[in-house]
Amino acid sequence: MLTRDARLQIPEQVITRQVGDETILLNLETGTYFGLDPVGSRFLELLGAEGTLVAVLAKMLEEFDVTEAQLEADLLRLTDEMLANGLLVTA
Amino acid sequence: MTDERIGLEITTRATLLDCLHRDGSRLDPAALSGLTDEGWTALIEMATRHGVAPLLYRRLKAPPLARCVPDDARERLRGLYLNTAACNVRLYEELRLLLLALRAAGIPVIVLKGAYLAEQVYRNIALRPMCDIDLLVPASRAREAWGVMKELGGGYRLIYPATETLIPSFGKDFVCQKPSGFAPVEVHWTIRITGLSDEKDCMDDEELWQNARAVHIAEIDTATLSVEDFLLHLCLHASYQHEFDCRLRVLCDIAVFIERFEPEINWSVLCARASHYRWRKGVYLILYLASFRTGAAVPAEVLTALEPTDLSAEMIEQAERRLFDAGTETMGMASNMVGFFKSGRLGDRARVLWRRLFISREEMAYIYPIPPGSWVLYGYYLVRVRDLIRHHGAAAWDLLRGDRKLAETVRRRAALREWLFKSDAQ
Repeated sequence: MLTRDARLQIPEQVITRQVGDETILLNLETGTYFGLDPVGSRFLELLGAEGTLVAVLAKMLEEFDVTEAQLEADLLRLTDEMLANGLLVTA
Repeated sequence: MTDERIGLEITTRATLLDCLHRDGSRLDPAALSGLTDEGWTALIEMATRHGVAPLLYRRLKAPPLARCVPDDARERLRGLYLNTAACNVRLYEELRLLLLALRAAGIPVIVLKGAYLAEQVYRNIALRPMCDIDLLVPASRAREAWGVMKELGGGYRLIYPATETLIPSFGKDFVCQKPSGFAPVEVHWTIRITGLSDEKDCMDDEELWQNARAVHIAEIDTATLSVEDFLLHLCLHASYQHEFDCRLRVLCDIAVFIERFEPEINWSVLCARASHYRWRKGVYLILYLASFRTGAAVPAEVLTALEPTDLSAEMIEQAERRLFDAGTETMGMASNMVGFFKSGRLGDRARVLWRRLFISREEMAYIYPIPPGSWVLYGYYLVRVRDLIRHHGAAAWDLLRGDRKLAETVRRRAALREWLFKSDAQ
């Protein structure tokens, strides 16, 4: 079960690339890819800098007009999906 | 095709062209709002066929058009956009490794076409689908380049020529791919325009290297053609090489390229080179279509200077028809088939057939994995007969049976070909 304190990172075989205002993550081994809209792109950028979900959550709450419960639920759902597709791993 | 279907095709084409035009005000949001589910499907399918679905996505996600696009259409387009991005990310990763290896071996490289366009001209690799990587190396280093690629991880295999000793003595490039390969890599050692059979059929290699520009592609410092050479290459590839069977994407490539380099393009150089090498017809026609259909900023005086004296509305219409119908079955017909069927005389047909069946030993060795000096090669002429029947037998049979539509396609294509390759008056 993924928790707020989980430390997450992009595995070596995954390439991220900015395409327009979106970000694409591609797993070179499996060919699986995932597109992130500008909000998702910001999440990924913060995750790279902060490392944990809880730190990203705090930053994003300052930047976006959203409730903590809603943001947490959205981020957990997104993170779960990325973990399931091998585009993120727990450190 | 029913009248209804033809109507849908015409409407879809007009909407797609308005979406792709550099002048954003041409597209009426009402035209989008009025599209039915069938209309959206047709628009997305046409954009995909023409390699412009990502451009359509970018255009339609911007306000005020975004609100005219149904959610499922937007999601389909976004899927195509992301798919292009994912394919190109892989392709650029392959290119990065290739450029690194060739640089380590001290082999100079010029990156051609899509790989340069997507990253440096469109400036968003998701906008420009690519089906291969095109590179240019000096002819004297081509064999060595293949040696470097053979040693790279993943194990590149040669597709053409089938016999590696022909590099670089025969043909203009080698084509290879990894077994798990995502896209073929074409390594050219000269830019030859197939079909132009006189001494003016190549861009001047020495000049290309002298004028090449330093660029940063796939995170590597490398080179590409000068602005004028790059634009000329796009024009020649679309017109003489593919005889306009190259999809609407090429018009967008030209329009975006001109927009990006407008202040730098020396049009006098481009016109002088096109005239000197007798490429005016092809260059004019593709620039005219890019200007007329997608709003490419080709100066009017350039079009005037390049306009061939024997240009006719029929040639423009036929070139445009081939662009629109690119990728369809009849459009893909080999030029030799056109050569065969355009002549009604039996003797002429027999001559074309003989020439295409009994190609030179080098050409045979290019296609089949037998050294040109081997006697076994003669046996492969039978294989060639089988292959020709397999590839062109069905269309040839339809033509011999008098398929009128196909015959008309052949007639039109032959007329365009004859006009295009007939030396233009200077």
